[in-house]
Amino acid sequence: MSTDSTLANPVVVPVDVAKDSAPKEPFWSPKNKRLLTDPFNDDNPITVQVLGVCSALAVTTQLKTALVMSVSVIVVMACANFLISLLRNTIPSRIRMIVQLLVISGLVVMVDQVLKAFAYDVARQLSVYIGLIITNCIIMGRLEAMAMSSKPAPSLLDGIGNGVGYGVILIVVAFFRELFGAGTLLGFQVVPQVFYDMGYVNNGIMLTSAAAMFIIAIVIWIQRSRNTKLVDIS
Amino acid sequence: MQQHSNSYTLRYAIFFTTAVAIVLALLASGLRPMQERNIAQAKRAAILQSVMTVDKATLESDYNSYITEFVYGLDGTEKVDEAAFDVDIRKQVKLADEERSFPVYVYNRDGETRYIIPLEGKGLWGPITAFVALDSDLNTISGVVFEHEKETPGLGAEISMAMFEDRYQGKKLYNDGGELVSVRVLKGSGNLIDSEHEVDGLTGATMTLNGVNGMMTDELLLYENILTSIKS
Repeated sequence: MSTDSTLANPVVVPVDVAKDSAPKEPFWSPKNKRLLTDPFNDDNPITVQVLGVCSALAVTTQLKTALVMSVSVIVVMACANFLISLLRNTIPSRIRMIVQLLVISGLVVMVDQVLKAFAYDVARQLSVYIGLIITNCIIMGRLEAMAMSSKPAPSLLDGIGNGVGYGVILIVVAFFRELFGAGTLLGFQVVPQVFYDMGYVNNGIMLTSAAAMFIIAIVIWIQRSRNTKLVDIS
Repeated sequence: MQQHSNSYTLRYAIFFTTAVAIVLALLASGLRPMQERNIAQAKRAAILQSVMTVDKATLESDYNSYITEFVYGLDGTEKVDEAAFDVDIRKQVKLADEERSFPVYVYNRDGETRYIIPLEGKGLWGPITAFVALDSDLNTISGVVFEHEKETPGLGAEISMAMFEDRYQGKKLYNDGGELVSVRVLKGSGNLIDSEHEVDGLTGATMTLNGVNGMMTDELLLYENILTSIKS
């Protein structure tokens, strides 16, 4: 009966404290630092793991939506990684994906509700995109690959690192798409009127999703030519 | 990964979904007063935006000093016991025309009068709203504000851009025979417009524009008696 009551209340069971007898690792150990920095280059979620490409196409027509999307994904991914990592030993393996999805969608609904209460204008602009976070495969991928098998602190760093790695690519793509597609950055006109008078026209292709593919491909090309260990030798 | 028993899995699922549901319910009901205030403020801003440039800081005092609210029935008689701002058009649309309440906002500033008619319609993905401001002749459109919740960005969502809304300025509701015909938006963009009752459309936004036409004609025509009774 006593085991039953602990099982019914799995959130508070501190299983890994008893289980992990290895000496405590300092929070800023070189290994943990790599978790944070690797996703920028060697293990970038978009250009190397090729995850989350669909949302990278959808939200990069403007720099502003890309920025807000990046921040939201970082917050959701860090929190979800941390929570799932805390619960990892209690989650029944057969329903683990559903539990992960529940945590992600719960967090996303919270972000949406809080934005609606405190930043209504932003929430209205982003209503379509916020739902997209739930289906972002990077989050699910990191939960499966990292949070389900690691301690909370490294999982948190991994979540932040991958969120930033995703955001960097989004911002790079959005920068070029907004600049060449609309001649603006963050809504401000940057291409001077003189250029238009001389016959310069905005590139309509940059506003279509295909342009994001081209830009991501060029980013991958540049990255691999500088970092040859990423080149697939098989 | 250790194997858990069926009953553990079931209890875990029940416990976890309940916990998430409770947290979300508490958060949603805790934040509701703030969200409702934001929605009301956004509505005031949209009403004012159809007649003037809106300054966020003075929004509420501007609204209270310049706008008077009225509610009419289909036959043009005023319903004095209802508050126009609280009329939920989305629910009204489902009622029989005779039972509906039709709000009108009257803008009065320095002797200048505008009549603002709120309309509601269906876009491709969700509801769309319009605030149509009429000059004091109750015929010429002086400004329109369109709002949408989830139309496709870059296509249907363009209806809330000034570039599209401005096309309605100066268009007339009544034709030369004095008949209420309102203003239609045409399919696609780049149409040649020489009528006072047509505006150019948007490419790739046909479904949303059908919703706009639904509001601007079918719904607006229901205001015919009301417009006549305001005039006299």
